[in-house]
Amino acid sequence: MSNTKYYLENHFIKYYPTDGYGVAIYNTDSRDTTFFQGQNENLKKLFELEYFDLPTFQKLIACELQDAIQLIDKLLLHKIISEE
Amino acid sequence: MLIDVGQYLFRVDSVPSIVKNNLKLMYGDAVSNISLAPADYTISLKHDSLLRKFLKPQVTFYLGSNSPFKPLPASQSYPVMEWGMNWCIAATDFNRLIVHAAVLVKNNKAIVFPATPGSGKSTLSACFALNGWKLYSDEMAIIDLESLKVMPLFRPICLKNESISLIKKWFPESILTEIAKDTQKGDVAHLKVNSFSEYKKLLPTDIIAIVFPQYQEKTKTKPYKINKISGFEKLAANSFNYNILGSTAFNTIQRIVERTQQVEINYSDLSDVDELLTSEFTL
Amino acid sequence: MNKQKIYTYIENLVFHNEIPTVELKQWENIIHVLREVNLLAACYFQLENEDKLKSLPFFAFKHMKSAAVYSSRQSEQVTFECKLLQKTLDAENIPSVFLKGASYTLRKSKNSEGRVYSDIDLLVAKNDILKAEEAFSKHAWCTKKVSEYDNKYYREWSHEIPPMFNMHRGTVLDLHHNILLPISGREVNVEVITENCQLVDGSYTVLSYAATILHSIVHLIISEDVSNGYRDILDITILIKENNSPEFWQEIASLSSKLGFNNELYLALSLSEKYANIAIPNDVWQSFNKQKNNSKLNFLLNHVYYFALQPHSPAIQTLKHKIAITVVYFLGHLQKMPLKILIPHLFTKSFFSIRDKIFGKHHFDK
Repeated sequence: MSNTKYYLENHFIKYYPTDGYGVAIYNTDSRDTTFFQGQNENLKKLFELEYFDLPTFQKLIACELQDAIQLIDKLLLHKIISEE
Repeated sequence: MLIDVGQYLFRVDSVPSIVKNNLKLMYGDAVSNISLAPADYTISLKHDSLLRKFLKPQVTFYLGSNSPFKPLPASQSYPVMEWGMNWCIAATDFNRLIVHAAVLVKNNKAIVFPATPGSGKSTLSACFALNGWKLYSDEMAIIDLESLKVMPLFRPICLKNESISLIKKWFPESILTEIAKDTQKGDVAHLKVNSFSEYKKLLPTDIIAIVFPQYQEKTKTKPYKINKISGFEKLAANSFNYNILGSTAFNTIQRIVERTQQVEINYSDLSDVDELLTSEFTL
Repeated sequence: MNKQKIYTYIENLVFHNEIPTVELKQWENIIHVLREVNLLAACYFQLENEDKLKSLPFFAFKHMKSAAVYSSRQSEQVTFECKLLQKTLDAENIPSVFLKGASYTLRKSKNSEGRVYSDIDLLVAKNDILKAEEAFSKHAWCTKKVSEYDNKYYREWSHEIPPMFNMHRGTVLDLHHNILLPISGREVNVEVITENCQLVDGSYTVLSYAATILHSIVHLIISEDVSNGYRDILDITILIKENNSPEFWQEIASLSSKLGFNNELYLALSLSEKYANIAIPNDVWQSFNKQKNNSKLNFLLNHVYYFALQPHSPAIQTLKHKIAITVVYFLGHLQKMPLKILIPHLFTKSFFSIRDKIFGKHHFDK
């Protein structure tokens, strides 16, 4: 799993609240909205990347491995990212 | 018969006389027989089947020739009428963001109370409306997509179960319909809180806060500021037409959440909530 | 304003984009009728294309705009849904054709603007139907619960399985293996379908325009339920206008002759002329000598279909409309089934209808 590369899909509108916490993502294809809690500074850095692997992701989001995996699964489920 | 609820005009085609009487009681001068303006909706309440008409009478609500709900007992005719009117608005107006919430205004500032379970928003609406606040709606916040102002509606408040007897106790002069029993929401009665002429003075108003009240017996009234992402998520979850408006709703809610505060309040006493909100937001 | 007048304003608005010159109050009937027949959104987009929205009173504009917002969302949803369905079909190697509403949206034809969908119609080979049903069921599609009687109707007599619906999004999918009821003996040869297809967007197979229009026409004329007939004839007139070329006329005339649908084509073209003043080329009219001399057919055209397709709204319906609708009801059933199947079918349907009238429609719901 740690060698898997993930890349961001590009049909989204994002909202980073000005209180610095979390992000809301609107998928313009499926018309779904997904919410993430967490420091939005890290999430912003994530969405600037084109590709990332698990170690990069974990470092960026600054969390435990388990949480990183859970978050990646959620991003995959909501088709915000895809596996290469 | 025509009913002017402010933002919409209903033409009532055929309804049982008990409903007609309640409509006149609740809407007063907003009821007329002719209008220069075109009606937005033609609605009616009809008996469903031959057998039912005589045994256990049922009525069905119609918008034109379409019935959105299953038939319901005729004893619930008036609530069905009111719920039907709610449905017409929520199911056809995609020009505004419509949130399942109560809206009360004081000193030209609006507070939106989304209808989360356990909020007690109907009782809150009634108490505030009979205590100096202006009722904009007990059920739907109609928000202009550009100005983000909330629109006033002229509708009675739908009270349920214990809140009926509470309101009768606290405000013995209040104008209520008789109670419809055993509806899907329990016992239901409608309460008139203002006259049409009072209503007509109300203007579209800026929202200053989204408040999520949570009734808890015997608790001290405590406010908690919640973060904007949670506020967004709850507001979206309570929007009737969020899915239809799509990215427009996303952007509108984003703007609302940025310019308002989002607060949770645990309470057991509504007058404490009134006091808290009045001082917190200088109303 | 009498019923005839109301109807005239509506016909001129819907088919000719002529904004009614009426008092504000009289817009009420017009908007309510358009809402009943789901044409508010279509009117919005047609008027927008001709830059006429600003000539509408606000009352009319707001209702049309609202409907347009709703229909845009539906159209985006259908596009997304078809993308996922096609992915599943490709993975299972099942050839397919998108029909009707979904095909209009996918190819972005002019009549796709303002459409209100109930379902997505998909055609697959008879041999592939169960395979498709199984593949879709792995992606949260379930078969709708229908009565025992209707289940038999669908699987044995009709050209489709009971509708499937998506558990997450609620979209309804109608899987067909042919276009007409096999039992009626008017089944279209499957080769004809495959010969008249085209690819859109590099991914989706739809019928050619001539086949699409002919399919719409046949579907409309042989239907027993024409409550959406006004929308359907509008679709046909818009599609004809969009594809008005000698090649198109040749293709549709030849296809119609091959399949034996010249009566239906004649009726639909005549109706298009009556409602929308569509200019049909002379040589096309000339090929309809048999139909022009058929007094029964012409009676149906002028006294039955012309009225039966008009909006089924009390604001414009008169006795002659109701009679026309009843005639179409029986004709429609007769076209689809031989009498020996029709009579028991109608009897069963009437039994349920009468039962429901006495006990109420939902009395026997589980």
